[in-house]
Amino acid sequence: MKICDLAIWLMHRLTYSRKMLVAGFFFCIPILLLAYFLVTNIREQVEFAAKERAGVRYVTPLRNVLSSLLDQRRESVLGEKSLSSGKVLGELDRIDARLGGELATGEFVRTFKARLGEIPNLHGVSARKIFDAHTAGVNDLLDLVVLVADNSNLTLDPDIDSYYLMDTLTTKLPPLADALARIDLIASRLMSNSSSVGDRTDLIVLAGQVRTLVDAADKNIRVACAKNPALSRILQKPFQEMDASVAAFLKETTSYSVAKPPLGPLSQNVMSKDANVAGEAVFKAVDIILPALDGLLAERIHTFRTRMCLYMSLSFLAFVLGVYLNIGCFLSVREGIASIRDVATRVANGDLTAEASELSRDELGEMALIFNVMTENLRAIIITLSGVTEKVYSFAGQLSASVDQQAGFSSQLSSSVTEISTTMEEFSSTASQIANHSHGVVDIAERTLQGTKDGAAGVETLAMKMSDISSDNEASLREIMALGRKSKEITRIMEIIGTIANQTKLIAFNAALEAASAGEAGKRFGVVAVEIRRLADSVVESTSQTEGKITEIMDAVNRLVITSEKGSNGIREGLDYSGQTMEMLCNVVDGAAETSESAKQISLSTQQQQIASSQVVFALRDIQEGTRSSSESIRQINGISKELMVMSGDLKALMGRFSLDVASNI
Amino acid sequence: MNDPCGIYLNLFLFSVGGVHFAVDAEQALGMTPYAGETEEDLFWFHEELGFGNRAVTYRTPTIVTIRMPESRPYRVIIDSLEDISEFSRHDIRLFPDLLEPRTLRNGMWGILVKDDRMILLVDFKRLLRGRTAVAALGEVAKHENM
Repeated sequence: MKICDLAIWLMHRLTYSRKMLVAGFFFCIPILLLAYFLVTNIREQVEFAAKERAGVRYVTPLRNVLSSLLDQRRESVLGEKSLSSGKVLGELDRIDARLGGELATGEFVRTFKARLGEIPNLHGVSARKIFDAHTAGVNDLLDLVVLVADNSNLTLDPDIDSYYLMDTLTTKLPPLADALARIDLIASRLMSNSSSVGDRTDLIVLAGQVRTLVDAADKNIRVACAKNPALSRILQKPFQEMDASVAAFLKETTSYSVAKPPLGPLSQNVMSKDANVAGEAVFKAVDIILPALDGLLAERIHTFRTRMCLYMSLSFLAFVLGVYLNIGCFLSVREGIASIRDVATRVANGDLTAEASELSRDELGEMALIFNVMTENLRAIIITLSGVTEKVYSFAGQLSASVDQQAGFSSQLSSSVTEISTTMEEFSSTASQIANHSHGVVDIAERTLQGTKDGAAGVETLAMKMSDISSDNEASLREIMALGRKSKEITRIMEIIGTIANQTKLIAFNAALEAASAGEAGKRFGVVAVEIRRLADSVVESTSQTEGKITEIMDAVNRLVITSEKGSNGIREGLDYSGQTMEMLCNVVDGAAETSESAKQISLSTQQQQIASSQVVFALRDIQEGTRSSSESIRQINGISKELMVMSGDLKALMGRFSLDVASNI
Repeated sequence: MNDPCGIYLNLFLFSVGGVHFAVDAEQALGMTPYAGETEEDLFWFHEELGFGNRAVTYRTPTIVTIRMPESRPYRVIIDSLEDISEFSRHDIRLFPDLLEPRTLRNGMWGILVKDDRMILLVDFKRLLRGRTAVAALGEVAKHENM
């Protein structure tokens, strides 16, 4: 991945169209370069073969020159009239003019022609020198053939068949022809007894060379025919004839070299004829190899050109197809990306009903399909989330309300716990005080026990006193009741007095009336009547006052009687209560004893209670601290619930941004 | 007391049910204690004067015999005899004209103020005439119905 980081970094900065353009450009370059190098290579091979073919063309006139030169040498050496070589040299000039520059043979040809130009000037020299001069020209010609072969790439021919044909044509057959011609000349000299000392040796050496060259040529031809069977049909017969003629010639030559000269003229003619036949067979083989080699080269050039055309066509088709497919790829990618981008834009805007319609079968299609699935899943999630958000919003509201209530309850609980804590601290303090005082209570209970015993004795004394009081009270009551009866008697007397007074008053009124009716005579009597009436009024008034007093006395007596009776009853009840008190005091004594014992137990329990209340106080402090923490937590929860409510509201609003209903979107 | 011009009246004072009354002493013949008598000519003062259904308690009921010119006796039970005194006629006030017809029908003819107490002056004879007229009308109605 490290290697591709730069490419990824570069591609991240480009749009897909530019990415495809850059990628296509850089993909086209190697194709074009490959096509260029391929064509160039083929062209080089074609030029290579064409140059070889030029060498073959150049060799054709050289063959004629060689043939002419060999004939000219033989005739010159033998003193026969030699044929003009102007025609073949003219061909050489033409071919050299046409191909000499390409094959760089110009200088060599000029040297060769200069050497040939010196030969006609050899008049009066020995045959040996003439032979050597011609042989030097032949050697130059053979070197020229080799030079042509080298400069025309024939020696670098890559194919086996053409290579061996070339080798046969340039390095085997021309020397073979020369060797055969030299053998013929040496044999002629030997037959005419004009030979030198080394001619017989030369003859043997040349015969060996001929055999070597023939064997090499045969070997080359066999290899070429094995590689290219089509050549067998062309080359087999001429070379068999060549082999046969050369073999016959060598046989003659060998027999001669073994035999002692001089031979007759017949034998000399036969040998010359055989040499001529062998030489012609060699040149015939050359004439056959030249078109065969040229044909191979032409076929190779044709093959190369056909291949080049095929490669170029294929390259062009590949290029066009590549460009076409690249454009299609670009458009497909662009269309897919645009489709996904449009859908993604709609989804980004909250439209979750968006869906990529046409799906390709590539990665973008898979991505679009996955995107559709993702959108569908997201829509389902949003729908679910929307419902959940509604519930969360509702629950957050309820939670907030509940937390508010709980906060209120917590505050109340905190204050209550604080109050309880304070109360318990007071209770603990009180318990401590109770514990401290409980010892005193025990002492007091013991003293109470003793006091109760003393009280029981006092109550017994009190009962006896109460009995005496009851007797006295009953005597007083009897006296009071007697006084009441006397008061009633006085009342009756006073009623009688009042009745008398009223009667007196009535009499006085009647008297007054009588006096009033008597006029002046009754005035004195009227005055008396008035006085009597006033006296009666005074009596009545006094009687009334007396009756009032007696009534008061009677009321007092009655109250006294009632009080005395109540007192008697109270005294009796007091006596009864004294008895009961005695009994109760006995019980109290027993209770006081139990109280004393209980007080001790209370003291012990109070001490335990003090310890327990202290523990309760500590626990309440912990509870108070916990309640405070709980209140703080509830406040935080309240804040969180409000934030949750706000967030759920925001989430609800956010959910509202999404379009989930396909029908409503339509 | 010398009264040649008849300026003074000798009034007999009593009270019934807490209300103070006065009668010309010359109209009373005598007084006897009430002992539960039930004669037809004996009437309760509060019934004669029209106290209505109000319950009246007599502490010292006394029968007063009214002096009548006819032989038919007329006795009235009163309560609380108080005094017999002379009063100047100038001290007596008559009832307003608006009330006088009704008060006269009930036998009351004036008002006297004594010791910050209001005393109603009663005429037993006028009461008796009213009673006689009513009885006569009752008899006439009874005969007409028969």
